[in-house]
Amino acid sequence: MISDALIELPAEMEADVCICGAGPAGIVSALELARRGRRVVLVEGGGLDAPGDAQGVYEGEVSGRPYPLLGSRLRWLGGTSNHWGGWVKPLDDQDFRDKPHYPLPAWPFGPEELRPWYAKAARWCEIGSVEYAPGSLGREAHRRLLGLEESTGFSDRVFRFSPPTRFGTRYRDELEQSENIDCLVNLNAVELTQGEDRVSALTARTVTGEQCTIRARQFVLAMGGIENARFLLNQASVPGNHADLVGRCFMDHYGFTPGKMLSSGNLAYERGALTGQDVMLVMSPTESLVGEGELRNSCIMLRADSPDSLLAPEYWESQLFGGTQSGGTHGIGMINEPLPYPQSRISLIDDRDLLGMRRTHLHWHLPEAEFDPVLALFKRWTTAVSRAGLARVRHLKNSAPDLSAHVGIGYHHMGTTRMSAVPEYGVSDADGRCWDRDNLYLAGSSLFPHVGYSNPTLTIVALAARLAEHLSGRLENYA
Amino acid sequence: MKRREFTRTLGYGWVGLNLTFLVGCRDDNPAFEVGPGEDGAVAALEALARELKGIEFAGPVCARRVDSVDPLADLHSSLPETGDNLIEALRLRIADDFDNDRIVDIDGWKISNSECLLMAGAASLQGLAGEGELAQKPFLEEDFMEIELWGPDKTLQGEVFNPLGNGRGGFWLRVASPVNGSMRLRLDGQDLATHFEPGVITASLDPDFMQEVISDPGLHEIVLVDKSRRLQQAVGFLEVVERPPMATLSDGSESAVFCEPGNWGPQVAVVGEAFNRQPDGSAGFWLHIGCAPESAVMVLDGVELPTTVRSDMMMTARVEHFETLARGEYPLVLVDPVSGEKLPVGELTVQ
Repeated sequence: MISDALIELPAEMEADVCICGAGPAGIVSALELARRGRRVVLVEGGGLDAPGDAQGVYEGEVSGRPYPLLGSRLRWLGGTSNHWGGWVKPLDDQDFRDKPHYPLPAWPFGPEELRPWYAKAARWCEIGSVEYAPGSLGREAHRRLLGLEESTGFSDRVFRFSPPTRFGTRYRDELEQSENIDCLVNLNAVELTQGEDRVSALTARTVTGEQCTIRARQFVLAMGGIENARFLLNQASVPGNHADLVGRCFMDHYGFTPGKMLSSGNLAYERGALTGQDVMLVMSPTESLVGEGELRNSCIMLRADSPDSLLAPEYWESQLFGGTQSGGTHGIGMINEPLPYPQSRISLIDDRDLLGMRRTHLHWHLPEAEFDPVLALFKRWTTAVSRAGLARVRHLKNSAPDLSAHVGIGYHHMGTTRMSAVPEYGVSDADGRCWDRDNLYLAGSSLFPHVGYSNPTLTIVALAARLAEHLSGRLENYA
Repeated sequence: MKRREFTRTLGYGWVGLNLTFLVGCRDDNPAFEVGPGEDGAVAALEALARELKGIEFAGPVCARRVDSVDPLADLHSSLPETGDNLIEALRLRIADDFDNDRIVDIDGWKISNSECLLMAGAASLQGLAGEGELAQKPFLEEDFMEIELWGPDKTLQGEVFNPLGNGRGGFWLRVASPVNGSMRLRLDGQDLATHFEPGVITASLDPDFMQEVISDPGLHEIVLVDKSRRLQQAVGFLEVVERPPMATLSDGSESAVFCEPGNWGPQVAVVGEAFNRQPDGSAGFWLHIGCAPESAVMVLDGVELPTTVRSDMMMTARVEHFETLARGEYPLVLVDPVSGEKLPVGELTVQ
């Protein structure tokens, strides 16, 4: 059931699992646990359909490159899925593996670990297919893609699309009707009661000062990539901070539009271009190219653009390019992989929000030098498609945006409570459990140690479903 | 480089050529089924050059860049001997150009040297006029372009206008006529780097020229020219306004970011009514000020207002909470959150 803490709030509650945050990670893990018969208390700081009076808790300070700390997040049932664009793609296999030129290690497990959970996540995200191999798209795709061979250092990749699923709306009925879930909105997690290595209770508070103590055997923080870290840092004894990594390694995907391209006018990279298939194709570098060139796993997107009079589309009709194709001009965009730099971090300032929690300071470390590998990758791709006679490319930007400039971002807050194989490199273990707390788990993209260019929601949901099975198993063992 | 030298240079590197590229050969025109070393190869290159389209701009540019009396002959002599198909040989040569960074950059377009030779030959065969031949012809005054809007037409002394980063800045024109690649915007007689999109022309000044212009108060003439048709059309003038004195802050010190404020308004409002009503229904202030940082905001009695710092020495701000203002005096202050400076503007009287 769902209830509003501003209307009625018991002083104490008990559950098998207490989950803080009702975005995609919180809702999926709550419903997965409930379907397994586990009692869940799900705590959401915002309201049912609107943030209520608590949106202001997201205000804070920003340094480094400008970042919309407030506008990039939504605080009500469904969380940031309420402005999700629906782009879906699993991480590439290479994203799971360590790269020597990255500052910190990658995931504590390989891509095979998440495969079954990606299939499950696809159902939660209402995606019709779990197939992401370009070869599966049929003959039309084969004809209408550039067809770069892996030996060029690049290959095609597939994005699919969720409707997009607004988790708070789509799964509201099930939350409402589940006998195993108590979902309280307008209730904010503020304090953990901790023993040496366990959490025994959570104190949650409304903006009007009403308070509730929730006791549970397991606790899950699923409040988002910024709030997970802020909540932990606000605790008198900060869980998972043995390596001083709570709040560090903040990442978001950043965009760059480096140029345009003349090629066949019949290309089908854009969403909707392939008949009957809701997909978008991109090109990304192979793992060996990323390693050799010390590059990033970014992707290159194409979209139809107006003709360029400096090199008109008719040029593509030459025998030099086969003589049978009409030309088309395409704009080029890039989604770029950020790296987990410890100096890119969430910390706290002295100013407090209306709940008494210290506010966020975000230092987004995305210096101009981080665009060097982006420009280098674009240059490599230009050579690859040009030498193969597949396109001619126009470079419109040859330098990074100034540090003071806003850059396009994904609103993907990632990395601040990173997973790791050993405690030295992370906040949580491969299950998402805080390294130094037996029953405190993290969920969501704050866990991501490396992020590639793929949108995070599918991976967030896959991890949440996986976490639910793990927690249910632990509860079984207790029983 | 002669053909045999070139072949040696390539060596086994060719083996790695992209299969897609080779498999993708679909040229079934018999005119090109001639090896580069065979009779008829030059004629076939000429045929290929004659049929090139879409190079009205790039062709003449290549003709100037390649510095070749006979670009097709030079191209022919550079082709590898392997293969019995001219197109295939040319593609291999172009691929090798890209591999070895023999690239010509035409306003950002990355074209291989060999391709540029072909374009240069095509420009000559097709009679595409290069700028060199045209340069002696005078420009005729003619309104060849329908210009709907343009800007900016004013900047403050020392202030980079419409900044693009790295010290560059520039102009934009919204146009309702077709544009071609030979059009250039000129400021004080100097060609600017000009870019085209449907309906929009943008032109930027390099940092040195920008500094020269913005350090010279007065009017600077802007002209649009079509260098191939030898036409020119007056656009207007950029006014560089002499920088007004900096404002004096409450503590008597000189502001580092704000110029002395000019007129502002409205200074009087009626309870509950939207003064200077805005399209969204809110009330609004305007303020003339010679300079203010983009980060500046107007603050009315402690309430930060959504503020726009315009490029025409105006600031505007919306007052969404006007209905809550009771009768009284409300101080209006300019605040720059970056420098921390606060500059009192005046008081709004609500009657």
